[in-house]
Amino acid sequence: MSSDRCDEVVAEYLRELEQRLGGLPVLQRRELLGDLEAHIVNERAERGVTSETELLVVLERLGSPEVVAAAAYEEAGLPEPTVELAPAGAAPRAASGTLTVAASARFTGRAERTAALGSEELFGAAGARPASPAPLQTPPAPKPASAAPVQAYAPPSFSAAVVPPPDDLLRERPGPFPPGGGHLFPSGPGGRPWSDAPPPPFVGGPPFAPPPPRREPSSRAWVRAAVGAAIAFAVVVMFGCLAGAFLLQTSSVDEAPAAVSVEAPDPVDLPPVPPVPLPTE
Amino acid sequence: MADVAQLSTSLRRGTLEFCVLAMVEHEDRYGTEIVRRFGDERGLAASEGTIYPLLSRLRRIGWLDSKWSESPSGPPRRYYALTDDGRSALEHFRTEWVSFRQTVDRLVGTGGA
Repeated sequence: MSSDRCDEVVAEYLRELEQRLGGLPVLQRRELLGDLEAHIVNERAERGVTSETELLVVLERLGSPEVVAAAAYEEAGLPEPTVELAPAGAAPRAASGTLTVAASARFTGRAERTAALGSEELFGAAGARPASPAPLQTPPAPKPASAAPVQAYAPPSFSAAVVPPPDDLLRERPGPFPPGGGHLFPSGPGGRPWSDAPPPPFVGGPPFAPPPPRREPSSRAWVRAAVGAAIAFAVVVMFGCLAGAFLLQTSSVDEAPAAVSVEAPDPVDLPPVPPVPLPTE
Repeated sequence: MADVAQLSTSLRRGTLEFCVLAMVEHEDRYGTEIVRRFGDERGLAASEGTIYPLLSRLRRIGWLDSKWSESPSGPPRRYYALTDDGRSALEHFRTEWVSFRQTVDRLVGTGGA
């Protein structure tokens, strides 16, 4: 029994546990993995574990990765994602919500993870385990340890990238609000941080109906006609005045009008007119 | 026997965390030490590994504090200590537990005769 063999067993245990903890926040996942790894190191050192059998007893007391992961999700108050791990040698079961990792890549992430946990002295001989014929169905691994085909479940990517609406929409939008609820704050709560698609075309109309064309009031024509008539009348009067003045100026008054002697007719004796009786009622 | 296992889980829930608090009430202890103690108590924890998520939660809610310390032999150890909030929670649990236990004993008939 070599120490490398024990290291491989421990790495396999931690690796499976890490795969099952993919739904936990990264800090809680790292904390738990670090605690368990330190626990195993302590147990191996203080109990003098040298054989794989003794190591398996330690791991059995610790609990299977499935049991530990279930407790972790319960304590974190998070639902445990559906995970199916095919046992070694068994045919992989087709199940939605699982991720298939090729067996040759089962432990390729061990060196990286142990370095992150600061326990290089324990797992100094990190390396890829010889390929096993059994493919392993695992939950999503947090690091790209393998180029194996990913079939299904992956946690939602909380990318902060925001695709702003096109410039023409920003400049020419007639409505009062931007289409996504906030192109003014693309990374804010009104943005669409999880959408990589371009913003939908604008389908709304202007906020208010355009005002109807102004119609000339009917009285306006009469006013215009009256004003025109008044102007024409004033022009005629003015021309009349001018013509009159011209005629007065051009007429000669040099000769005084000849005096006409008129003889009064002689009185004629006429019989007196009898008085007309006035009708009396 | 599934019902028996479910009963143990149900009884464990809500009480195990105060057993953890009581373990560090008078003395700081490191993780492996706490876990071994519960591993020796049959039926109290499902397995040793399930204690670590519980320690993590108790630390996050402020009932436990933790600090790393060098070990005379082996890797650094993470020591857990009871905070003031944890001490208050433990005292409150003790009061409630006595009343709860007496009620259950009286109703179930386990009070001893």
